[in-house]
Amino acid sequence: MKLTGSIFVIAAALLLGIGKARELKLHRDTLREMISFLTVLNGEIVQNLSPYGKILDRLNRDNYMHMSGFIDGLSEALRASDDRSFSEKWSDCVTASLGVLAEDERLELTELSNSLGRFDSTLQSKAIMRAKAGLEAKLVELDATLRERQKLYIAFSTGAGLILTIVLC
Amino acid sequence: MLIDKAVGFLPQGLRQGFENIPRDELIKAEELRLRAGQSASLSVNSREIPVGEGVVTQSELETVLERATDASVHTVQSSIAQGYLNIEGGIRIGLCGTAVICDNKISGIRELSSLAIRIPHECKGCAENELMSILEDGLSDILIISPPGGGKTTCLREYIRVLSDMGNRVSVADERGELAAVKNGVPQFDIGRHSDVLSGGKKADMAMMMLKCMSPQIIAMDEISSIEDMEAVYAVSGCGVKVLATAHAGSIDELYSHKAYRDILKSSIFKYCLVIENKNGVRSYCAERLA
Repeated sequence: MKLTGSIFVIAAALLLGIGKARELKLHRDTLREMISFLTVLNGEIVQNLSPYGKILDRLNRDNYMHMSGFIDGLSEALRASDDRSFSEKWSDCVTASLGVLAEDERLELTELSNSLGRFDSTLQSKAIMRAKAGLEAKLVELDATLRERQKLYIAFSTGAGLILTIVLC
Repeated sequence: MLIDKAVGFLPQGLRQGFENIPRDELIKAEELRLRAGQSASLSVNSREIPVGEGVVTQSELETVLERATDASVHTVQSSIAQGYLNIEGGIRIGLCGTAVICDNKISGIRELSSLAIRIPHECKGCAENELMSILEDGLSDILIISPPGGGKTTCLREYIRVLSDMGNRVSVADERGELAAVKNGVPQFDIGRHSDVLSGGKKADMAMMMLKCMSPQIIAMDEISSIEDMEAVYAVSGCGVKVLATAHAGSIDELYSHKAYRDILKSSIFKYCLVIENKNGVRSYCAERLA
């Protein structure tokens, strides 16, 4: 009985660690997709002068795995005829769909929204490139420590499970 | 209605004022005028009526621009550089602010200070008697003149419709998209059954393209003013095509005081001039045969 209990506690702690490690990977992948999204957005605005509606339709077809909620939400908000500005719609979608990103990354995207929708392509492009550079720096930082942090989470949670088992036994 | 569409571009605070105006007054509106630091106003019969109590802010002007372009101001930046942008249905927004200069040319407008949202109107039957009297001499080249906001475009659109429905092939060089307001290939205004529209380019270029490709009997152009426009008029009129055009002037004497118009009048291309006068919102039309 004790043995079964111990196995359950350790397995639960291990799963917790794996979950946390996956969350880290999801964060990294979402950040990577957001950078790619901003690259396409910038290209469409500067080179093709495409309207946001068309850009979002195109991005929707590009099969973004982690960004689809954000893209869908923004497309829908753009079609809705309410009194919110595009900047507010963008910020609301960042808050609602990109919770996996860190607070400062979300802040970067929210600040970017102030320059979108109502300015010429040069101004918008500058703001997008600035936000992209900021997120790329975060991604490099995250990539460098991802493996170690994933291992640390798994080891730490497994260790905590073992300690708990010993204490309980 | 187009006025509802135009009011729909306004932010809530400004919209309220316009929604409180009686409907029969609102539908007569020629323009909505928004100036930063002043109250909004409605232009009816060339007179401005203040609307609402608060003053318009620059941020509200930017919001109007954002809404009118579906949050894609960058898609109309070349049009903004010329001081206006066209919206679905032929609504035109004129802009003022600080011009951005790039390579000695205006490349955009920032820090908006005023917007004039012009609502186009169809006026079937306007100046019809004058047109019929002109047509007694056969199909002629006609120049329609009035000061800005006098109703030239509305009258030109009506003449295009009437002449087209009479069976003439009319090619419309619609630079600003105000004459036909084409959406998905279909004109939003009635411009007749035999009209072809080319929009979005320079009037002069479009007139020459249509002359070569659409075998028109009449070419219609709104607001000829530049040297290129005049050259296009010279070019098409010498090819057996009649020209239907508008120009800014209060009278024929005023036309003669403008060098480009004087030259074109002396060349006798236009046989008739339709002068539109607007007194206290009542328009009168007078067709004069040019010497």
